[in-house]
Amino acid sequence: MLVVDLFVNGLIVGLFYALMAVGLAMIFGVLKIVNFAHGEFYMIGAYTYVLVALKLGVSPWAALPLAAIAGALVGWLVERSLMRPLYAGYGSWSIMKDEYAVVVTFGLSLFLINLVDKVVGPYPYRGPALVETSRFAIGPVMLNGQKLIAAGVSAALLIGLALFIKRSLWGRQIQAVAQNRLGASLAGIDATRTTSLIFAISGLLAALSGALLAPVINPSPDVGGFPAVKSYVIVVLGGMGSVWGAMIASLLLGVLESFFAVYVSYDYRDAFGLLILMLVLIFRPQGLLGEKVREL
Amino acid sequence: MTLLRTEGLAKHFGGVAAVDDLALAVEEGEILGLIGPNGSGKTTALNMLSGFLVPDRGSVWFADENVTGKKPVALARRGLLRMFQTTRVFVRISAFDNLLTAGLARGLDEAEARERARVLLEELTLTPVMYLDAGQLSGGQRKLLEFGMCFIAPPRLALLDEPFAAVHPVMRETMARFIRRRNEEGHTFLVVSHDMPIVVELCDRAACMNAGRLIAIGATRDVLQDPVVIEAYLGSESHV
Repeated sequence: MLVVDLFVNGLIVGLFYALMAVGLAMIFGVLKIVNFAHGEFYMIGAYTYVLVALKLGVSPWAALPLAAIAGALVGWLVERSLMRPLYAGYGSWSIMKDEYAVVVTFGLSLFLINLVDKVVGPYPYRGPALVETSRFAIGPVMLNGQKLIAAGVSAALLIGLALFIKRSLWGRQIQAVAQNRLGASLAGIDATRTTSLIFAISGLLAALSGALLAPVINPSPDVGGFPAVKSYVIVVLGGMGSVWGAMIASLLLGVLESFFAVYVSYDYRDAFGLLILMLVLIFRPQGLLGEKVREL
Repeated sequence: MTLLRTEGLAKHFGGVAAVDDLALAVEEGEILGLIGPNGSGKTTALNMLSGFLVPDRGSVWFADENVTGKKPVALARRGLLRMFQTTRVFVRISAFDNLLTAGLARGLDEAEARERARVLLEELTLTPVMYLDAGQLSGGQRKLLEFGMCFIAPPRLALLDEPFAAVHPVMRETMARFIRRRNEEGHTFLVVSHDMPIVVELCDRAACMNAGRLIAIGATRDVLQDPVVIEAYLGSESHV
């Protein structure tokens, strides 16, 4: 029953991918920009979790929400301080400064990596696990406690986010701003505040992803680079700016990679995502869900 | 009572004075038509009134408050709403959800927003398409939907930019009826339009702009017969 084991473990990896990629998709959906500092939100979450737990002696269970809060705070601050020129002045609402966003977020990424490198140090830390258990089997599926808890938290958060976007007032406002920023402001929706919220959510999800995986990834300053690249692949795969597309693409990629690693090549499993991306771009350039159903 | 007024409002784009020294007043409860040839500055004026452009000079007063330079969302929350010539509905959610979103954003509770959305959809003849995504509606239906979004929490003043342009006559009549009904309930409108029969039928007063300046204001028929206005539209005899 290797197939079931690979499928379930692939889904779990996909959940981690989704936690990371959804925030990126939300930012693209609303501002039509790529946040090149998204990986550093992940890094901040991982470091906050590890340092708070190790240096301050706080329980890992308490460090987890603190890491999420740190990510949300950084996301919110980034939007307030660096992103506002993108849409400041309603006279230029249609001229989003894409190049500005590329330079600023890329610069921010380098700044944060080097800041952590100088302040905390270049060496990896090993974070404490949420639960100390050895691997165990549920039927044919081999799991470990940390991974199972991380997957559970991820799944709960993603379901919560989906409900939040579909049902809550703020979720409706996010959808409105993503679909028509100008129309949203005419309807009485504060598009600027909504954008702040999106950055905060994006930072929170990425940071939580980093914190949940901190015991496995042993964070170093450049730890966000690889998950960020994965997220870009997923966002394009799912359809640029589509939150639902990003969720589906994450799960799909997790499962396919899991099978590829066993049946084709473990060493090239991460390159497999790029291969899928190329195929999707050739046959369905708009991504899996595509432009017609792109929505938040 | 004067609901909206401008004092010495001006906006230049490079060397072009799009709006120059505009002093306009909209009285509470009226429908004021803003007319003028293409390029006369109507839309620029509307952009400044609704917060989408910051004037170079002058001020905008709404309900005796200086609102110059305030953002559209701040003005919307004060009850000054603007509709664009091209619709700005949310195309990937249903017509009903468009209204609900606008209602909730403007402070209605959910039950109230749902009830008002249903009533408005009925009045605007959109009930049969209420669960279709707004992107699937015709241009005219989207305009009607935008009227609904504007009036789900009725504004004190609605600024309408060419609401009747490129709309089927039946829907145009639905819109005109909607505006008249809201006006009878006490709502105020500033309507920019090139459609003179509708302006005559709908507007109590009219103001005419030409080359960025206000050249006439008064009872609609008087303004349309004003030689200065006729000259602005048709050119002087020497040019004929």
